[in-house]
Amino acid sequence: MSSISKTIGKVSQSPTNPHETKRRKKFDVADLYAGPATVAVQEDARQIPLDEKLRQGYFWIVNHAIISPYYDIEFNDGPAQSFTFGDQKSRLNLPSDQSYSSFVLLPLLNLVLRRRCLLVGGPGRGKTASSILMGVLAGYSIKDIKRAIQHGQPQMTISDLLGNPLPSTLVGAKSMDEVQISWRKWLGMRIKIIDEYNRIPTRTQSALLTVMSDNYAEILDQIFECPEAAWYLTANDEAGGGTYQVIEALRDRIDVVVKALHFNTRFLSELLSRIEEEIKPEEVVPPQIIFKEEEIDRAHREILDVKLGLELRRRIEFFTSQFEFCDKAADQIEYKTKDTVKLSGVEFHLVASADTGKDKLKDIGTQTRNGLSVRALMTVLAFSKALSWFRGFKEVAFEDVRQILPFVLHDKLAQDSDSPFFNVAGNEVFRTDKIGWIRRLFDLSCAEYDRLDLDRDDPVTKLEEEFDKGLEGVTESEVRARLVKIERTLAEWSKGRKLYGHMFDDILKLKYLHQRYTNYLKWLQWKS
Amino acid sequence: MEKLIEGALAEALKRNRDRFNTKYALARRSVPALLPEAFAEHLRSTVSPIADVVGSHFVDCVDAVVDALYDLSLELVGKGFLGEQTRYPALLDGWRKLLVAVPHFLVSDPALVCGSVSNALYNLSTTAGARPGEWIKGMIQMGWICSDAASFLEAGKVIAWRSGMAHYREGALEACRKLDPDVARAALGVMDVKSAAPIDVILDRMARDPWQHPATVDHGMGRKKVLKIVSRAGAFRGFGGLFPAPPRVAVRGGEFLVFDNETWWTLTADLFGSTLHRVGPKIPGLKNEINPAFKIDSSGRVLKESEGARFPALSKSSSSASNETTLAVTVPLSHSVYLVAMVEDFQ
Repeated sequence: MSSISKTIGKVSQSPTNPHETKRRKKFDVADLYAGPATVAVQEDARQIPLDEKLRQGYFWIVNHAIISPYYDIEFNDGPAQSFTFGDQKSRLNLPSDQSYSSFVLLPLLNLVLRRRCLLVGGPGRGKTASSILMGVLAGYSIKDIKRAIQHGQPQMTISDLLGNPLPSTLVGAKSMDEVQISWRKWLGMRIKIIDEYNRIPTRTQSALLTVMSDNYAEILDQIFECPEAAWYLTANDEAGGGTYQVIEALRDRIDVVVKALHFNTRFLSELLSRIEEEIKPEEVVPPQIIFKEEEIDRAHREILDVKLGLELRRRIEFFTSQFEFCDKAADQIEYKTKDTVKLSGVEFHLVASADTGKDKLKDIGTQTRNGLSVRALMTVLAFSKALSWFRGFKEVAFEDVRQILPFVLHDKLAQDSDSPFFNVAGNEVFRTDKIGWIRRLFDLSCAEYDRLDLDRDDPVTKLEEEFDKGLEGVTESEVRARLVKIERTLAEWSKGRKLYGHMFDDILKLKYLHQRYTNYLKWLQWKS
Repeated sequence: MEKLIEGALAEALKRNRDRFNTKYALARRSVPALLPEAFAEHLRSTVSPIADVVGSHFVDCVDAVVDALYDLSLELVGKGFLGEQTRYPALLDGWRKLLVAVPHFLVSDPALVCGSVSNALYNLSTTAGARPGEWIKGMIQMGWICSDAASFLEAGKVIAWRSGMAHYREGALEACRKLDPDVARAALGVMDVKSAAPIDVILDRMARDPWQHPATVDHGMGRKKVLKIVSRAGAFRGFGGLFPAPPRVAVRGGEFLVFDNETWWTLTADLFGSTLHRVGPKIPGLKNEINPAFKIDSSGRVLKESEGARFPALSKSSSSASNETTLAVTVPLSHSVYLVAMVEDFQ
């Protein structure tokens, strides 16, 4: 990166995934205007697929703007070399396929998904600069973006954040309807940057929460409807601490967490020349990689069209089902959840440490203090699709999910660092490395999924498929047969001595199917 | 003492100082030859007059134009295409004479117009026999006639053809059909609009006969045609040409091919000029096609249908080949290919 060989105004040449091109005619008069000068033909720019455009944006940022020489989102298309160093067996992988820097890629995916991205890391690691770049890529001028940044500080009031009532209307108003508010400009922007959000006072955080979650702002009964926007929040403290504790609801609204990694000192020369030459990359973003509002909308729709196959979806279901179950939390099976423990106010460890006879090293559910919310699951699916789309595919691959999970679940899965898993030699590092820990969780879950051979033998999927065909025309005898099938499956499972998280969801699904068939059976009997 | 950059350019640079400094610094990294003094001089002597013209007519567009010109300048000065030390003086002329003459097109899409003009002049400069100066003059005239930048650039293709880029003939004729008839006539150099034939008639006749001048296409009466040496293509390498030895000529599918003992070339030629394009050392399966339209004997007498003429320069020819409209002849003591065709007799 230190030896930049191209000028900063140039983006990577398209296509990044080359295909065969048609042969051109021998002498084309259009060649008259092709030569050493770059001609930015607007028509051509419009024809570039949006995923290609975003990839060009990514490569421009990593090549010219952000010094982030990391490829922590690794992809392989064949055997990859790996090296280990030192007594601790520190491993280095050399990916055999195009790999990416999470610090650049995830904010970009957040831009087209219009979600909420938290950039965490020590001061001066480019968190705010990266957010500003996203604003420029969304078509805003540097001046506008810089003015729109909300800088968290202990004295920040709701008025500072949202706006003020106009004094003239406040004095003359006979009802609240007559009060006019001077809304802050950033509320109407499609990029919202909150710098050091953990320095915002709690009360103001609540006002921010309304904007983040419900997309509107409210002052004195006056409402400002905000447009769909990509949010970028920065924090120095990963745990959400700071001048003020970040309210949990606000943290829960964050979709993806990106770590600003340390500065690699081997790139100091690059830094030096930037200082000496007063280089400000955000000032020279090439127009070819700037997204119009309509393009972001279109990219969003294209991402939603990316398919996620059944086999992969089952693995995600299996993985995410592991965490909510807590055997000792309740008597009735539906309430056997970590959420029940949390709501009861009882110390989590008192319940979690109770012996259920399960192997606590094997049961990955013991490693967390919570389960996953619907919002978290939706975010996993959305970002997996976005990553796949970014890589130029129409269907999500296993590795897309594996690579994206840690960043989405980073703040969603609360680690129980007292779990025996972390006392095993080699696992201690996962107490501090949440990215690695979540990826390991997924790997362990997939290994268990394979051991159980659920791709080929999953009775719940078979029953689901049967049910999904609809109940129209299903005879009474058929319903009874299906009920027996469900009961037999449950009876079979009940012979086992241990109940694991994934079985918990399966059992409840079977109960659901049983109830639907029971109701249908009653209706059939009444009808006849 | 070095002169200061003044006027509209100075103001635009001041307004976006950080951006321009960053662009220069980054360009300098990849092209160390981009010296600050040379670049500043280029801005002062070449870009500043354009910015002034734009500023005096379209004051709101100065920033966008300067932005585009600055980017292209970094790209072209650094690589030696522009600047006082340019290897392509016509390119510099184009910036200094043409761009200042068409500010109304420049403001509509500065990067496209300026980039296209630069590339066109580069291509004209690097094509042996092409006349970039003529293209600049023609384009300045088109600046008054065309209604927008798109038609201006489309007309530029026709002017390039007229300036000696014979290989663009087919595409230029297509471009003409897309243009407004008056613009197309002007691009073809037919200035007497009243007596000129309809544009479709002109284009059809020119498409059939590469030696048909557009200004003399009438309404079907036709003048008497005579055989003439209409062009000489190629020259000795030692005198700036392409051929190291007297060439020989052949024809395949109506296309002339020339061999100079080392390399085969494609020859394209018409009334506006001729160009040669390298093919390679061999053309597999090449067989000279005999076209009965033209005949030449050892005395240099050429026959075409009932017309005949004797050309002493073509006596004892070393090779000849012809298509429907043109006879190409080489002689042992010349490094050129002579082209003979039936053209209107004005004498």
